Amino acid sequence: MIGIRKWRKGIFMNNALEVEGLCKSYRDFRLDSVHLTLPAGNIMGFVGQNGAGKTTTIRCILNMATRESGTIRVFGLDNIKDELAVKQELAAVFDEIFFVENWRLKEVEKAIQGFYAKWDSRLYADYLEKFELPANRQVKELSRGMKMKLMLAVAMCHEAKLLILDEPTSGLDPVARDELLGILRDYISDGEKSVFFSTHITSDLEHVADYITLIDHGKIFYTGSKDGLLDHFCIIKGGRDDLTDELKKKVIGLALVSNGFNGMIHSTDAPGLSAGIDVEHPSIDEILVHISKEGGAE
Amino acid sequence: MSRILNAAKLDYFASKSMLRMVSMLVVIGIIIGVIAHGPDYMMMFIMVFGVTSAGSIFSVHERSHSDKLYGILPLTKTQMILGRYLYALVIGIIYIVVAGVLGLILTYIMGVGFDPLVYWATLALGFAYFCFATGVAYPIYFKFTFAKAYVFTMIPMYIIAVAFLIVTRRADLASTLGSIVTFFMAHVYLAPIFGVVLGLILMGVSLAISNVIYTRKEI
Repeated sequence: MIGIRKWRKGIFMNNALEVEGLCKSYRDFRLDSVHLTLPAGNIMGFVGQNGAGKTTTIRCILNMATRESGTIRVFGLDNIKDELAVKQELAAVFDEIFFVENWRLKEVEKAIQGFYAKWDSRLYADYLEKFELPANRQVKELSRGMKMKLMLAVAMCHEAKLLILDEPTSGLDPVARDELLGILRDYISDGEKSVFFSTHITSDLEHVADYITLIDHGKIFYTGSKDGLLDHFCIIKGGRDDLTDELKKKVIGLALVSNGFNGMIHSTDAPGLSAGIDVEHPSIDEILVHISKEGGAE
Repeated sequence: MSRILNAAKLDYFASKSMLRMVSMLVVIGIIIGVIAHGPDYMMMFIMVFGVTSAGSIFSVHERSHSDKLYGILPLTKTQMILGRYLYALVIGIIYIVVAGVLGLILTYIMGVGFDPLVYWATLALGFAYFCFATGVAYPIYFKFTFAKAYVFTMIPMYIIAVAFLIVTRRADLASTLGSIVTFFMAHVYLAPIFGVVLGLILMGVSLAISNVIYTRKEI
């Protein structure tokens, strides 16, 4: 209770989500000391290829999976010890809808609202109208994009301060994806709410993310600001003659092609390169591809 | 407490459409009662169908990926379990009331005699069976999910059949049963109390087992 009071006074408003040394093992996979910090009022993209550990991390944050070690704090509260208080303040959207398929949208509210202290029925009705979701339609009759909007409407009308999205854009057409990103931008516009957004469609993040965490094979490769990530690495392309042994050691995800090579290096290594090598700013997608090629996080 | 009530309410909303369908089974119970010329048969069958109703909630939630919903709601796993058992108990009570009322109506319409002891004993046994069968099925569903474990819902029937076989082989069965019947004839009012208490004890044990299973399970 002390934690909640402090949170309400705004003392814990600095970070929406803090994960430190999170470990979790399965038979053929291990989350290894995952760490990330999402400052309140921002969107963090959580990027990695399929099977990298994104969903496992999210499941640990939601206490759906039991962590072996590490700490997870949401607005300064422990996600297990203060689970009920934490879950009043967060909402999650998954790639598939979790409401009963026979429910009409007005029944979704009836079934869910009792759990949330700050549920606002008028806001729910407003969101249904704004997202063009007919209140009398059944969940199973909604398109994939509409189902996503319904989960967002439920998340937003109980004033969740942290929205966690697990692969929300997979399977959505470009128009629906763009709409979703617009909704997220509006959602954080008050400066208090935050979004933690896992995806492997990195183009979504180029537009909305303030922070990026890259995960590969259960380990964090990078966590920090998006601009920092893009400044942190360079894509290099050159002829085979330019690829010295010293350079090979620095290149992440080296690929030999018919007319030369390409790869990624830390920006700090760029000044010493030979003049024949082209240096380009990377996209998040290129960074993800190169760390995946490298076969594991550093 | 309000979270447990909300969890039970969520189960009610989730199973509402299914309950309407399963309630049609009551009609089958009535038909069986008419054919067998015995309201007691109908009452027992209605309670057996009540078990199907109480179990169908797992099927609904699995189809709807509700594990994720439970993962995000401000609700502990234990509260969710308590809500689910409360829901089952309410279903059981509804079915027992329906069985009791229909039993009286059928008795009146068919003009058959219905000994008060048999009436109350049927209701008591029906409720105890409901609690027993639900109590066996729920931990199995929590452990293995409905889709995988539906086949095991017949387990309570097998247990009862085996128990009946063992009991009937005992030579002193007639005298034991006779003394039980004599006792309840002298204390008719105890029959429903016995059924309710036995049923609640069975449900309580089942709840404790489900809680251990589910709180250790990753959802």
